[in-house]
Amino acid sequence: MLFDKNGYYLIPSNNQESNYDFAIDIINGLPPVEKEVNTYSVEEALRLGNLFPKLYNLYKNYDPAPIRVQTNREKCLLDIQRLEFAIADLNLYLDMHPEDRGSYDLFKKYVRECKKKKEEYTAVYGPLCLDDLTEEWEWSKGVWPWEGRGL
Amino acid sequence: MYKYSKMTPYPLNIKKKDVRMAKLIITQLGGYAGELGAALRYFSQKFSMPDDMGRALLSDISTEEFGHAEMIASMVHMLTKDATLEELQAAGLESSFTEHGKGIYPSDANGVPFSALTFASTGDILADISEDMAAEQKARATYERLIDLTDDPDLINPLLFLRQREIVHFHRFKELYDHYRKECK
Repeated sequence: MLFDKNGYYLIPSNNQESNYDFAIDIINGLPPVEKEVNTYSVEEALRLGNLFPKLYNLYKNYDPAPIRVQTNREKCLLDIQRLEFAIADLNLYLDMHPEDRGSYDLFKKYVRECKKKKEEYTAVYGPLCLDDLTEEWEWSKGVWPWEGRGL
Repeated sequence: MYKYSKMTPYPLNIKKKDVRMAKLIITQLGGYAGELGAALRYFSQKFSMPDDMGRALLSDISTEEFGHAEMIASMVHMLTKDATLEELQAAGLESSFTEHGKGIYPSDANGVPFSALTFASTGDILADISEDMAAEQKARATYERLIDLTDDPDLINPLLFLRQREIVHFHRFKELYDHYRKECK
């Protein structure tokens, strides 16, 4: 379906502005730089892989499933993963839009929330980073990400 | 300086072993459009960037890609760790088993080892960033093929996540490219 009868690639109809066209750039000069001011919730952002609705690009009709967790540890970790993701996506945005104070305020809010969640997690389940301190040495003991217990 | 976090960027919960998909997904670790190549490409190129925008963006995307490389390697490990010799043979992985056992080795879907020749670092900002934009599109295309080749939601969801990251990175590189084109005029 992505190719016509002659084998040429057909541009999908859900093609959004994020699909950059070099030819248009070369012919027409620079396209306008648009700012993405609206953001998804941190839950939606991790599910979709994207904090900025303007940049979201649906593949076929795949709607990523809500992220499910089984244990309380996985739930606590998921809260951190959501915040870490929002921080990472805002990081890239702010690299390119350092003057956007509103987005930096949001960044600061998520960083503070994430720090708090990490402290709560560490107290019960051990460190995620080497400098998350616990009573005894636990760094080398915990669950490693590739062990696949919901991580 | 890098610091390690004991978590994947997106939760992995792979319940079904699938040696066939592992054999294909490994290309996103060691193939031409893989995460390791992406991480090393931006890592290498960041030293040529002339301003804070470029230095920050390449350094930060490179860091994110190293996390994705571990995520892909983790997926391959989870898909193969319980596989029997017969299952590896049935998926055509005897030669891989001979050389690596069930170890994770960065190669493409054909078993060709990772090569730094899959990327360039030209010292020319427009050439480098054009390559970065193309690299993100190649990775997007590869993720779409992988999604088309499985019906396991435990694989499709993380693959959709990684595909969307390629689109976001492409957009940021486009912004940087436009920024430098404006500066160069």
